[in-house]
Amino acid sequence: MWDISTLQLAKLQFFSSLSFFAIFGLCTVGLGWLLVFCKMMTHSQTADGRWMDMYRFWVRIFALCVTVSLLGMVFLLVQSGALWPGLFVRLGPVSGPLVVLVAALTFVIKLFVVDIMLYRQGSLAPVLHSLFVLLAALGMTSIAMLLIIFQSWLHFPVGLAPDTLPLTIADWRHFALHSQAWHRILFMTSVSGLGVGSLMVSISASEALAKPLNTSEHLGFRIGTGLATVSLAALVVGGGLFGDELFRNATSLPVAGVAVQKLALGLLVLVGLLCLAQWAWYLKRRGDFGKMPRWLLHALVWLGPAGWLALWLIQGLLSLRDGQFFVHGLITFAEAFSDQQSAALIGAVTVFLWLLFCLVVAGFVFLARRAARFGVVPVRKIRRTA
Amino acid sequence: MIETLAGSLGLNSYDPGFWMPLLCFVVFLGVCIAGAVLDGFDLGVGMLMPFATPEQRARMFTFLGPWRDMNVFWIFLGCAILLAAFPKAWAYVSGGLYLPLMLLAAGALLRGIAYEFRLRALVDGRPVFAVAFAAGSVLTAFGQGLVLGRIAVNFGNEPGSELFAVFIALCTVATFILLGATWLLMRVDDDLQQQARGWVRRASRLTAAGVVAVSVALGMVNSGVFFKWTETTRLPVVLLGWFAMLAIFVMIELVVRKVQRARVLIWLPFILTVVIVLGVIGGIVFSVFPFFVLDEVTIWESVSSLETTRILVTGFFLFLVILPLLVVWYYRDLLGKERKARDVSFMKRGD
Repeated sequence: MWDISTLQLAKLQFFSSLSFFAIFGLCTVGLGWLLVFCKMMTHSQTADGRWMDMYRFWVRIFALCVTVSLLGMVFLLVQSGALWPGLFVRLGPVSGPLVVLVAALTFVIKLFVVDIMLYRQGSLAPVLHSLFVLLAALGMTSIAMLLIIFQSWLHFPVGLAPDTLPLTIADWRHFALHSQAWHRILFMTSVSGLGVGSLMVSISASEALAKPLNTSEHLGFRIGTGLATVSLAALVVGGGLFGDELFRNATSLPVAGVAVQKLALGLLVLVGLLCLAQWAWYLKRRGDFGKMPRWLLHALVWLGPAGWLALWLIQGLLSLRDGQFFVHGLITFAEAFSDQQSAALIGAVTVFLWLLFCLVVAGFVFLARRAARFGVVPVRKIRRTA
Repeated sequence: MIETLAGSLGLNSYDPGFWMPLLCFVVFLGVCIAGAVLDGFDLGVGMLMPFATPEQRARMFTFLGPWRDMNVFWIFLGCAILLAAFPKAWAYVSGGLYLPLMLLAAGALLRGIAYEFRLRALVDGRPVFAVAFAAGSVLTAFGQGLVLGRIAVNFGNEPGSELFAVFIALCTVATFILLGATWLLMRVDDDLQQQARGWVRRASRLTAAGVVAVSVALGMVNSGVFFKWTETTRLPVVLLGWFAMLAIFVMIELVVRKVQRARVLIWLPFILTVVIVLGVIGGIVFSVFPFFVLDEVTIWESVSSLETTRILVTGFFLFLVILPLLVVWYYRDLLGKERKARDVSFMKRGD
């Protein structure tokens, strides 16, 4: 059973870091657009205080996600060199400009736009602040799109100059515009929506368990439920339409992969059933979600963890797409890998990493539960106070 | 000197193949220095947290606030630049530095997240995140130290050199603590200053040992470096630099001893510590240049291709102009005294 090669360990470590980053990153982008929506609604003619209250609550969850996803990126950079030294030597002309572009975008977005969005709301005119919220969402979406396109390109390397090593792109338009990339972006959008939606339902349900909901929390609950349901449907449709491009077909999956696939499908069915139960209750009683029976609320608290676990498994399955190839048909994992590191070391680091990820997730859940029970803490980080 | 260097590569110094990689290297070096100094005091203050009282700890967390957002970026930028511009060197270096770099990344993740989470936690949850922040700081500092140590022993795999790298790593941890403690010494004047004084005195001895250890390792392990140092024209300069570094430690000790009277000179220990850090980095670059990995990969061999470098240089040129301005603007209050929140006139509702 323990007969795992060093290469497989390295893949396990790399792709578990990648999926950790991807889940938090996608949810950050999703939350960004949710915040844009809330902020825009505050400017409408009939706006009441609900939208602003909702913005104030979810911007804190957003800030937590931003931090986790930013720092998760550093792991990928280190592993890309340490575990796959042969990769960027062969891929330099493609990856180099992309990495610099992503790094520069991240730098500008995080340091200026998100900073102003999070800490300068008091000193900006509302419209100007909304503009920064929009800019933050746009910026993070473009970073995410670049990374997804790159990931898709690894499976469908198009636009290459023939017979060059290191691989050189002849036409960047092919790189950016190949149709598979856009299918993948659509799929990832639904993944992001489901992540955000299930998180919203989960937190709203624990709020409803702790206290009677106010109007803005009711609103959040409704939006979360709608988002989760629609995205789940989109995920299923997207998976059905683009399944061949995104996933390897079930017959050639390794045994563990089949088990993961079954588990992910099971979790998605569970999430779907919970959403159905919510809508059934809503149609029957016509009441607010906050007044649902307590057993259903307790079950809904688990919608978030179940949804996120399912998405994490889906990310894992996506990484199995090409089996032995890093870049389809051109660079194999074995070529990129160097056995400079011993299996024991890689294994130990993997276990350590997983513990660290568990700690981070535990901290995230702890803070989210606290926020649901006691509300959020106003945060101040003004220059010249320290 | 530039001409001779270019000549030795068979290139003209105006040849893009010569100056483009060099420009990328300068940007990388700048990010390294900024990271070591600006993230360094942050790390140091983080590691001193467990030795402070809870009130002091809360203050220390506020001190770090204004610069946190920028400080989480240095490691990220350093890795990204190295990876993008010098893929071959990156493959070589990170293969030999797998464990230290992973420690570094894990520590950075832990402390970055712990800081932000602590900021958003209610009062009773904060001690847990403070512990995580300190642990992350130790991991990051130790990881950076191991990177330095492994470079100093030139990636040797003998048991002795491993131990030596660990010793250098411990000294690096002390250096960061020294940076943090001298920074605190400069910023405050009450009981925290007295505490910081004790920390400075303990940390400065280990740092001095570390500086000696790095230079001995560099000189003894690599005969080429030793030869470079002892070349007749350079020897006096090298020796002078070396003794200046040792004199700095004495000066720090003198200032710290008279801390009550040294109102004006109180910023001196921090500046001197920064000079030490710059000296160590400068010394290593001087010793290893023009190689990236000594006797294995030069700067010019490690770029991926000229076309790619050409694309990158445009971006890096912007970095080279904007980043220093940005750093000066962002860290302009770094050397000042602590400001109490009530002195700030434009305090608005925080979000």
